[in-house]
Amino acid sequence: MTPASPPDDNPLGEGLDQLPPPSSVLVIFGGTGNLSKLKLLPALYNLAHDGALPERFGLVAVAMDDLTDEQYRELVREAVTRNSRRPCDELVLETFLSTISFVSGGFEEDAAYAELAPRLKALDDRAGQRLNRIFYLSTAPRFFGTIIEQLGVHGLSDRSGSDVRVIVEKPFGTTKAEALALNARILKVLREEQVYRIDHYLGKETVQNLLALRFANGLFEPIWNRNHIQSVQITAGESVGVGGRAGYYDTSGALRDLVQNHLLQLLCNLAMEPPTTFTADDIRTEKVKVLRAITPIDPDRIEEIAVRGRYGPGSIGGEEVRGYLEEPDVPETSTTETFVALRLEVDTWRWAGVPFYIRTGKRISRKLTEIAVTLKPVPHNAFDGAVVEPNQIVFSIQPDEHVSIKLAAKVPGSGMNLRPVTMDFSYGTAFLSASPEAYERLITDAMRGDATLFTRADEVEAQWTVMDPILTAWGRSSAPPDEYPAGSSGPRTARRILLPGDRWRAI
Amino acid sequence: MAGAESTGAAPPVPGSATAVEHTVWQQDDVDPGAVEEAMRALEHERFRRRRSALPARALNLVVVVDAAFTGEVARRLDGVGRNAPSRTILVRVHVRRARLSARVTVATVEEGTTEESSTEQVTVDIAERHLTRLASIVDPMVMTDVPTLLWAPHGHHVAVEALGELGQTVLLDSGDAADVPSGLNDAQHLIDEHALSIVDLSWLRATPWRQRLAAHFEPVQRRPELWRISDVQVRHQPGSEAAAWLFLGWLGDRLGWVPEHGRTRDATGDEVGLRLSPADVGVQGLAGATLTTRDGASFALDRGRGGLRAARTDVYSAALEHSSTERQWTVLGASRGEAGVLGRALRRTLVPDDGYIGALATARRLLSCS
Repeated sequence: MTPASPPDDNPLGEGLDQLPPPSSVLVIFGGTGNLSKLKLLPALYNLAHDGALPERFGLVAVAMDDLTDEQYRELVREAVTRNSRRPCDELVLETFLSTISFVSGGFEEDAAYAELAPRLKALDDRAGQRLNRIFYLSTAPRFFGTIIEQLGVHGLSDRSGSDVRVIVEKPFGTTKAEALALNARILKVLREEQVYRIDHYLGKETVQNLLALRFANGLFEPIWNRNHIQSVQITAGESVGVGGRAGYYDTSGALRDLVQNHLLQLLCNLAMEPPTTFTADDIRTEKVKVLRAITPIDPDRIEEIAVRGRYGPGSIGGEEVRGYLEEPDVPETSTTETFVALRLEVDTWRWAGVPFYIRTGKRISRKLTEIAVTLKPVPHNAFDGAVVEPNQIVFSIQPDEHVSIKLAAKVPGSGMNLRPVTMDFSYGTAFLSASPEAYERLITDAMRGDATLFTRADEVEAQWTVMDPILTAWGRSSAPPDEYPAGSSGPRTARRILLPGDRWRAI
Repeated sequence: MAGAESTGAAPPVPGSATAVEHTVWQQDDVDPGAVEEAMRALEHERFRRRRSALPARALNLVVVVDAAFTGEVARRLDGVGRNAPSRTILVRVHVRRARLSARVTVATVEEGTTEESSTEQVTVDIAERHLTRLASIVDPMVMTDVPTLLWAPHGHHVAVEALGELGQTVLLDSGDAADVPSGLNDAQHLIDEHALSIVDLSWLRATPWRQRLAAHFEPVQRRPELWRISDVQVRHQPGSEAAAWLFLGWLGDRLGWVPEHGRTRDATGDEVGLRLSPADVGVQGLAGATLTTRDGASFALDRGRGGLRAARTDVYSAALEHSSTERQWTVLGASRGEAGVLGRALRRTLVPDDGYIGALATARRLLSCS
């Protein structure tokens, strides 16, 4: 090691946990919105608390509200105090607030960008270096294209000597045509490697752990195929209704809100082939292959593979709750689905013939997100008369992060009676520390330039290719979604899409 | 159950501030096998009543303490929160004691919204004469197949050596020794003679400093400055000189410094000045560090409000003009306090820090040369 040949790697980095990201300024468009208040600002505070923000860091919020810097800092203080996962350290919070400034303006107006540019330059000057710039679009989707174009017009989309990245929130289009058009608009201004399409499910430890369990354990991979797996069920349920989001939700529905992004991501993580390396592009390439292998859906045969439902009045937690059509801001004529059940097939050597069931709903009996892999039954039941249930491997993502394996075991006693038992692995008990919030992980990854947990353009397009025929079929139908009582596990008609011998897991 | 004392709402056991229920078993004149049997029985009993609770399976911690100072250690463990070991075996050493006695507490701990886990604490009272045979007492009580961390904060080295086969890692504070060389040599002895990994609290107290220094030199354009360092000044709390030497050892190890004939030279043979100075700060560990390069640039970190106060001086030479600029800022981060350092130490047992061995060896060489 000599001055003439310094090492490529930072010699001080070895042995340390991951270093903080490079010095950056984060610009949040929509800095006064719900997502900012509930997730982004508390995530940034927690990163500050942990010493995980960049050495030089600045936060600029842009929103239409007429606020001063000081007023915005008060908003941040309240949001962080209310929503942080840990009690606030007053000294850290004060110092964190001092890094924040606010730009008031409409996202379509030049004035906001004209004011933003000198703010960013001032932060560079103060730091004595060109800070990386991360623009976080936490706005209504209709502004995504406009903001990126405005960044281009005002010379903020690229520059030498530092990196510029844009994080785009979901939803990314509402149809394939929209997604294609949005990608085209974005990629006129930015290069693909600058675009970080967020899906916060990918920031969850259990989702990442799916890959670790599959590819770091000899136990699972030999049976991870059509020879041993009977079916896969992916369930995401919520006991809450649409609440104050009816305006958005009624234009979206369960398919667009959860299936197109989160649940297809889970399917991809479960079904993908081992990537050559665990780099962003290798992983995302394998996920795209899965999406492209999903058997195209025939809109004329939609009844065979898809069910849509809508919650009616019922009870949750012992309290009566109203049906979807009675929710405020939901039009009487709405045909929006609050429940979806699908049967998909991944037409590859590994998965041919294995049904992938996807189910999601609002106002079902409880909140949970899980993936259940059911193995084929044993070929011969040697236990005369005993019912031998097939093994199941269940990855639970919400509300608790754990993995369980259902096995058959002998009930103690003189007879050979069998009963299913579970072996559990829980994040809360197997590791000493809590999982970080998904947004903390994703924001630092974006600042670091690691796109592994973000969705690539071809990936989002492939997702919509799967979803579009379903939307087409439902758009043609005048029939309302099948009603299910709030607090149930969905409409009874969901059984219709199950193959013989399969059944929905109890929620 | 014989010896069962109580079941009910819990006062917290060390490290489990969110305990919602505990069950207790205790017995005098007990043999270790009976303790293990009692733990299993308590676990079954707990599971029968709270099926959602899973036994935690991450880490055994064996702590050997002077009986008179048990409370102090329990208080330190109280503060580690979520980093609490799954099973703590607290061995209380009495000067004289005829027989063993033991107490087992199984605490059910809330984990998020619906899930619970259980952590266990075994308190064993022994006599000093038992120390050399301590493995035969503790062995039946540790969970197999999870890492075991040994900690003797009151200096029972005999116990640590007796338990060496049982544990993989020793928790120590090299700053607790009578002098810095002894503390660092003791750590080296455990590595060399007993093949144990070390988690050193003095080393961990310097972790945020190492992390921030490494981050500062992460940009490629700053990297060459590391090879032009001419002077390092480390400010430390008066009782934390070991932490300062380990910090210097880390820098020296990473940058290839060679101590010889009372001087330290960098990889090109140029001399590097090393200075340690005590500073009046209320917390253990480092108080500040300044790195200066041969061309006069410098980077300093010091304790500040809401994080570390950073200052960087850049020097510019153009034709005959020579000028410099200084910038100051705060690197955000909360002080973890001693409880946070201990919590980090417990976590480090699961994720070993490869940097320590080189830093320790270089610190000892620098120290012997100083």
